[in-house]
This record gives sequence, structure tokens and C-alpha cells, in this order.
Amino acid sequence: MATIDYAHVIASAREIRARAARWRTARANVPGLLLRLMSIVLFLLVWSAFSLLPWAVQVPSPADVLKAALRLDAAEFAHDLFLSASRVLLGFVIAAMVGIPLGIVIGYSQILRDLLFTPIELLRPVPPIAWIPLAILFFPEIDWMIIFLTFYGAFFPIVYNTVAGVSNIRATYIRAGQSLGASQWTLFWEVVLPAALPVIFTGLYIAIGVAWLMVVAGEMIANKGGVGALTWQSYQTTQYPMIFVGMASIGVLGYLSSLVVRGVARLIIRWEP
Amino acid sequence: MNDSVAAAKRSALHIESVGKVYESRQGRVVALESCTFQVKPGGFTVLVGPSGCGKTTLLNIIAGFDSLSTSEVCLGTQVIASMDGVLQPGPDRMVVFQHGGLFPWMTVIDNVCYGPVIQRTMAPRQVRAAAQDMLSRVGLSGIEQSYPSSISSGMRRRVEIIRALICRPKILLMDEPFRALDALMKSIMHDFLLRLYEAEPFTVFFITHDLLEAIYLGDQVIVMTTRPGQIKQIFDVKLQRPRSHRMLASREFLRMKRAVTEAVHEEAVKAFIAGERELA
Repeated sequence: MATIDYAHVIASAREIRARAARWRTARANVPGLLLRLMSIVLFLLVWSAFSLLPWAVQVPSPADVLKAALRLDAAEFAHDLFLSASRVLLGFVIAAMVGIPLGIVIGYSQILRDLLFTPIELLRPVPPIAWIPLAILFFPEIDWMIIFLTFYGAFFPIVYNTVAGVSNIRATYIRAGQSLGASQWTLFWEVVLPAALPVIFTGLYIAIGVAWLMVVAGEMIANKGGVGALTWQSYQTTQYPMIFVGMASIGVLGYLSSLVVRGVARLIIRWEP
Repeated sequence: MNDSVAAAKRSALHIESVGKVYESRQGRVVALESCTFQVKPGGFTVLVGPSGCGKTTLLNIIAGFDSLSTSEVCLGTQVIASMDGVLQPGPDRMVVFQHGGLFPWMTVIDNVCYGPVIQRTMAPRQVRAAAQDMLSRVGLSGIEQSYPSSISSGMRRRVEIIRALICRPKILLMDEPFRALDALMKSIMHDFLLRLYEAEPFTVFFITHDLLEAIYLGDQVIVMTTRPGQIKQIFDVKLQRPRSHRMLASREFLRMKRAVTEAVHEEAVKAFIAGERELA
């Protein structure tokens, strides 16, 4: 039987594919990058045009916003960023630490699903923002009130996706595991969990967005530091350009934290192409 | 002692009047009815039948994924499925799955080593060496560190077969393993499986609806009826081994093809008419 040297075939196929990909990205990225830069310029132009129009409310121009940002006390601004980011991180991490194990047991065991899932399903339609009054009553400490709201917002997407990930595993993987001789415990750790990971990470990705939504809502109500409070105070003190600074920093922080979650997912779920 | 008892003792897999009934809201569905046959030790038995006749149900019962309603299944002298309803899948019956059962989160080498490692039949380092050796013997070295998603579907099938064989099962259960492959890849896979089998015969129970595949691979071809699945006819394939492409045009092959086609076609027509009636 003639054997084919697959290693060699694969290596050369990989090389060809990599070369083609490099060429494609080199060719495609130049106009792509240019277009993306142009879209930012266009966005700023449209914004400037709006600020020149006689509106009921004066819209600050990009230049006004930049000037306002430069006037900011750097230390105070950094503190606001830190406050919001740490609140999101705490709420999100607690939500993941509670939500993932809970989702796993609900997804894996019918008894625990019957026992635990109904209250969660009843709570889910209540928008997290509706919890603000109760959160204020529960947590006299402002920081914990905001962290609770962040946790609560992040909790549901994490639980729901974990349940979906665990309960929709292809039966073939479980059967293959059983057939190969895996015990219940091994099957759970080495088959069920890795098979569910991609869907669990989808939940985390959605949750980090909701966490930012909730931290801003909480900070606007509490008015004790953070980018949400910065935005709200700027409105109250009629510093309109500063509202935009606050909004932009929320946007940037939210985007960066999504990138981090996606990066961690890529690092862990290495098998997905 | 009568002949059938003696035959049962000599067989690797022994199935006698096995039945399966599903109770559903629409009523009782008889999936399998008094199926009786044996697979010889080192024998290659292929089960063919129209879609939905209960082939996979039978395989799942043997594998321990599904329960049976009547009688029992023996592997050698051991009862592996009985009416007590306790499912006991295990490494003595390895399954190669229709849609592929490699774990996508493990590299090729980890997939192949998985069985012996969790069964603790060998030390991890020995397993690795054995796996590497088996992969290279079948021309699959160089992909050990790849994930299944980055190798071709034909390679995935081969790795899955190796993953099953490295556990040295008493019987290899194959559930239409080449169904999703194109004709060319299918014929490559047939030869791959035949070379492995002919070098060191293991016991195989293979399911397919492809008659030519059944005759080309098997020593024994069992034709199943449409639902309720029963054994219609058992053919012995008298093609010698090692098998080769050239036999596909031999007189014996064509004779078998005619006989098996006739048996299966009748059932396929019945299944078709039954389907029409169900829709009407």
C-alpha cells in the first residue's frame, strides 16, 4: 500500500493558503483601512454640520468636545474611568461565577432544572432597570448598589446561554464519551463542559454589554463617581460638550471590554477555526 | 445440545428474537421485531435496509445507547443488553458514528489516546506511542497536533476509526460511517477499512443503505425489512480476501448484487407505499 506523506501535503497546502491569505489581506486592507478612516472623517463632518445648524438645543461641535476633554482634570477623569470599570468587572465576574455553575447544573440535570429554573424564568422579563428602587433599599452602600445592578444585568444572558450550551450538546459526543469508557464525572468535565464552552462565551459576550448598560444607569441615579455620573453631572451643570465626553468614554470602555472577552474566548476555544 | 446453541457459543455477537417497541402518544410503534442473527468472531457483517427500517435502532441497542423490549443481546458469553432496561455502553463495543464523533476540542492525538487513557489500560506515554504508531501505519502522521476542524472529512473518518480500534473492542459498530462522503472518497475509505481489517481481522457490525458497499466490505450481508424491522434474508458473500476493485466486476459480485438488490428493492417499495399511505 502506497502511503502518502500527509504531513508534507498538509504543510505545503498550509503554506499556499497562508501565502494567499497574506496577499489577500495586503490587497484588501489598504482600501479597507482607508475607507474606515474616511468613514470617521465623514462622521465628524456630519456632526460638525449638525452643530452649525440652528437647533433648539445647541449641539456642541467635535472641536468643542475636544476642548472640553482637554480641560478635564486628568486625575479625576481617570478616577471616574477606574470606578466604572471596576464596578463592571466586579459585577460581571460575580455574575459569571454564579451564573455559569448554575447554568451548568440546570442544563445538565432535569431535577435541578425543575427545581431552579422557574424562578429565574419568572424574573427574566423584569427589566434590570426596574430593580433600581429595590437595589437602593437593599444596598445602603452606593458602590454595592451599582455592582448589584451590574451583576443582575449580566446574570441572565450568562445563565441562559450556559443552559442552552449544556443542554444542546450533540448526543453523539456524549455517546462517544460513554463508548470510550468515560464515567459520569469524566463525561461532564471532559465532554459536556468543553462542548458547551463556545455558547457559554457567547453569553459572556452579551453580558459584558449589559453590564455597561447597567453601570451607567446605576451611576446616573447614584451620582457618586464613574463615567455615568460624569455624563449626568455635565447635563445638570449645563456643560453640554462634557456630556459628549462622558458618552464617548462609555463607548470606548464598552468596546474595549468586549474585545477582552472575545480575546479570552479565542485563547480558550482554540479548536474553533 | 442442538445446533443453534452451539452456534451461539461460537459467535461474537449473538442476537435472538430481539424486538423494540416505542410507546408514544400516537400509540405503539414496533421498530424491531424478532431479529435473529450472529456475527462470527473476526467476521464482517453488514446490515442493509431502507431508511427508517430500524437499522440504527438495532445498532444503538447493541452499543448500549437504547433499550430493547424483548429478549437480550450477548457479546461472547456476556449479556450486554437485556429487558431490565439498564443501559451499559462501554469500550468493548466501539462505535463509529454517522455524523462523526471526534471531539472537536481535542487534537487528533488526544482524540486517539482518549479511550485508553480514561480506561487506564496503558500508561499515558505508552498510549501516545501506540497512537502515533497506528496513525503513521495508516499514513496519518503529521496531523497529530491538528484539531479535527482543520483536517479533511476523509481524514476525520480515518482518525475516528483508529480512535475506536486502539481500544481493542470486542466488536466495532459502524453506523453508516461513509454516508456523507463523495463517491471517490468513499472508495478510498473502503480500501482503508479493508486493509486494516484484512491485516488483522476484528469483528465488525456495519450499517449502510448502500448495497454495493455492503457486498464489497462484508462476509455476511443481512437485509432488513421495512418497519417493523425484521431480518428478511441473510447472504454469505463468497468473494475472497483481500478484496480489490477488480472484484466489483466479477461474476460473484454481480450475482450477489442482483440477489441483494431484489431483496432490498422489494422492501424499499413497501416503505415507499407505506410512506405514501401515511401522508394520505
